[in-house]
Amino acid sequence: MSALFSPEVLACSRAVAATGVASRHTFPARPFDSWAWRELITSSQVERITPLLAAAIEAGAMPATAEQRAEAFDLHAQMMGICLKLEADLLRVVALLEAEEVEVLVLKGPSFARLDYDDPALRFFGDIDLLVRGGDWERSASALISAGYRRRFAEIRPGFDRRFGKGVSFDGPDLRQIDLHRTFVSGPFGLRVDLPGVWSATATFSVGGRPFAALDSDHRFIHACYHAAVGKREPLLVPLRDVAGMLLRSRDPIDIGRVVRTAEEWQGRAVIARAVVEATDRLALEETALSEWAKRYRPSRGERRALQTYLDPHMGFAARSFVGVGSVTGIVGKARYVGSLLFPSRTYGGGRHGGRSARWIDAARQIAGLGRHQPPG
Amino acid sequence: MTSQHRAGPEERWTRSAAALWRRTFDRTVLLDWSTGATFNLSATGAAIWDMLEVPASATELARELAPLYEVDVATVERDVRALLEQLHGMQVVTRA
Repeated sequence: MSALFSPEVLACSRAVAATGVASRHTFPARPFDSWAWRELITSSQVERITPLLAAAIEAGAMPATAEQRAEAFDLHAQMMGICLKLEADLLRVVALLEAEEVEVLVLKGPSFARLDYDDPALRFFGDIDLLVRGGDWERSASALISAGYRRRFAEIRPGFDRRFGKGVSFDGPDLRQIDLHRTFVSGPFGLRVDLPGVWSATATFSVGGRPFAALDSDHRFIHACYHAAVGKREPLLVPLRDVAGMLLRSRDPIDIGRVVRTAEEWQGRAVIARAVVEATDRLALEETALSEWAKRYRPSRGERRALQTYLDPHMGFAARSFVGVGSVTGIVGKARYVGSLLFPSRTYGGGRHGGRSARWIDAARQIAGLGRHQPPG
Repeated sequence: MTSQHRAGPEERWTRSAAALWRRTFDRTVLLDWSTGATFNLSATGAAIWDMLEVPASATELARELAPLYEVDVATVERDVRALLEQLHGMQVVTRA
């Protein structure tokens, strides 16, 4: 994403993203000219930091003309309108799932906005992410489909999502998106998450007068790190800002010892380290005990190999899935997992990857090349 | 959200617990539950929304606002009452 924007706009976007947390980034001395401003507006929308741009302008940190100020405020209001519609979806969908006796944890957007930002108007989100238990998976998916939601992609094989999948995206009747998760991310790091553990302690927030359950603060931080570090090859600024805000806040601080212990149990310390280093460096944050640990941390060979499947541009979902076999427990589980990957359903992958066999042949080539490419970052 | 109440001058109103809204830097954005669309309250409207955090009648709201805008209370009260009816139609305020 960074190649699209000029250095001054990139630097300003990072300063905007760091609004509200202690950062060494500085804003420009004068309002941008119209060309740079257009770039900044585009960058803020791509990076999902327009609310923070409006906050920086309101606080006087980011210089802006009257027209620029009005445009940023209009965009902020439009983005909040999207969030409100998604919160209405959240109320409807959770009621739908609860009617099927499915327990739900709200992930990311609405929970981060309500629990981890000073004001929910500072955090935009573009979809709703819900975590359900593997045992509730089929009932949850059926309930959504009965309510008019459509799966974006077919299941690899019947039962794969429930046992091994990260989750599935559904488009609502109005085309807004619900992501139903079984775990945090696809591939090896997602398969290692102690899912019963994340359900054992939860936090609560309120939307529209009713309570919702979310991950507790340490698990929210870990999830934010997973999203920032391996959600995309080059993380957007908003997940880094999520990490930064949770890392630096004094209210309800994260328990660093518990975070590192949990990450160790999940074999995910490299993920936490990458997210914290990225957030600290890109947002120019003050150093913390966790950032100093993260900079010293040296991933094991296995962690480097797993990370590579997320970060290497030559790798895809299929290669990541195959590398995940080592994280599946039990011989029967491994056999089912590999069987699903080798013999996917006929409905899977045709339109998305140029055919089933082509997809897995590509994956085999990618795995054979593991270690030859260096992951970016 | 339907009501059997008769609109009266001393009815008190407050935000509905079900209201979905965000306060941005120059307005309040609300979800209109009756249509699913969003609605912006700017300036006075946003101020009224802030005041509805606690129950208040149209008269009480008008008495607070009139000096700020240097307009007579009766004129403000008429506008406040119209806004409250509109917000009630959106199912974002309720009679206290």
